[in-house]
Amino acid sequence: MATPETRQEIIHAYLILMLSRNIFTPYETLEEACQQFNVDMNVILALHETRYLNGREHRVPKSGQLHLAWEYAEDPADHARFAQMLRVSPHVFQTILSLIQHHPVFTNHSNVAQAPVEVQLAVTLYRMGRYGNGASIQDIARVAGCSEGSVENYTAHCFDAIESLQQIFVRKLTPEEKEREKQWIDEHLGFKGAWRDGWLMYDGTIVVLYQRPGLNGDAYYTRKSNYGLNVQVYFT
Amino acid sequence: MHITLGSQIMVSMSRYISLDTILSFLALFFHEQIGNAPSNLRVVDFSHGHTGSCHDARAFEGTAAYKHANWLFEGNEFAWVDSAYPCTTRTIPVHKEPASHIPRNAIFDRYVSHLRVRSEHTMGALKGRFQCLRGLRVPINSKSQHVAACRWVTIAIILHNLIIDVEGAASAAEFSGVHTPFEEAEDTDLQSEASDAVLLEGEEKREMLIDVLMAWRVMRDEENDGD
Repeated sequence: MATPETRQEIIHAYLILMLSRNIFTPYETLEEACQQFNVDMNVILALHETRYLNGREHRVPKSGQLHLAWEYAEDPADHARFAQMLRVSPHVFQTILSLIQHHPVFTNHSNVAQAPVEVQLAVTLYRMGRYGNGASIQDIARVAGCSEGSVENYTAHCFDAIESLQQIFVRKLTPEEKEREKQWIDEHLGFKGAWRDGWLMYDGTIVVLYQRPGLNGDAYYTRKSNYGLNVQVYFT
Repeated sequence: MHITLGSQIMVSMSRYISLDTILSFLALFFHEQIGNAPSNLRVVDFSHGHTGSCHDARAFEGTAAYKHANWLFEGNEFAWVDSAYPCTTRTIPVHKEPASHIPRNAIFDRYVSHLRVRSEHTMGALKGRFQCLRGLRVPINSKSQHVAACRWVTIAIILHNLIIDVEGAASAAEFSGVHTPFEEAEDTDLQSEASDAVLLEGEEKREMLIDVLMAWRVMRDEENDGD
């Protein structure tokens, strides 16, 4: 979609064309002028209403590598490569896939279906495993063999679907699980007592940002001279 | 000659096979050991949204566990924290300087540090696997983009817990070597300004825990002397 500025520029250029044409080749009859005015109005209307102004002949060459992941998953010897690429083992990948693939975010009311859920999930996981310049949208799109916009869309879809699982996986521990944690403390220390009630750990960490935020950048500045988000975590 | 050579190969082969079987057996054994270990790096609760310039103790005040402590804790339960946090009945930190130089406090801190090794493991497992958290490439030019950036953390934590449920803690820690305690130290801030939020009852509770530890150590030493 053309940005509002580009659209305005094109319309301005057309107005100048109209003006110079009318000055150098004036109309001879009123009827001709009316016809030309009608054509001009329609052109400007079309410029306003056409969503995508570039030509569609140019196609970006694409050659993805995601198919490698499915080949890695075939052979247990290559499972480490799968995990290195998509950050989870093939088993976990299948589990996530079966949990999210029926989420309504993956359906659309269109004759053109979305990309398969496993591709969307693979792109999302690949993206989550990269940081710095390797995490740029262009790099991810090249590896995945899809467009840059698709990378954003796939990630958004999968985030929606995974977020709906939050209540299932981030939860309070059951009494049995809690007792097991307390036993770990007992065994680790060698004595039983008031210390076993301290089965939780609490810690904060900084999730560093790639670049200084444009909005309130200074607020993100950390003691370690970089920019980041503060995250507080309770864990066992 | 051929026979001896062949048998040598056979011998070396069998040595490899036996070594291999032993190794795989050991791996299986250790996997079982670790897999059954109760400490499973599971995230119970988390909070985000504060920016990097925010002090840990301040961010902590925004969590449900601080505002509604009884939601997470039962009875006398409490959490171990590092010295950046206030000392309350629900959060017991290690000592700050200069209090940490007192011998009985130093012993206490050492034991707590042994327990809190898991902190580094959990952060390592999380940031080693989902390395986007080491340099999050999300532009923040509006409030909604700030929320979108925080969402990456949520998703990473959900998947982290999911992996623990499916494959156990040993597998969750698979990538923790990538993000080592050294790198994590870069991300935590321990040089906190002295917090005067040491509440009286929190301090009492910590003293009680130190007493328990000391009593046990005296008992243990007496037993050892008896032997």
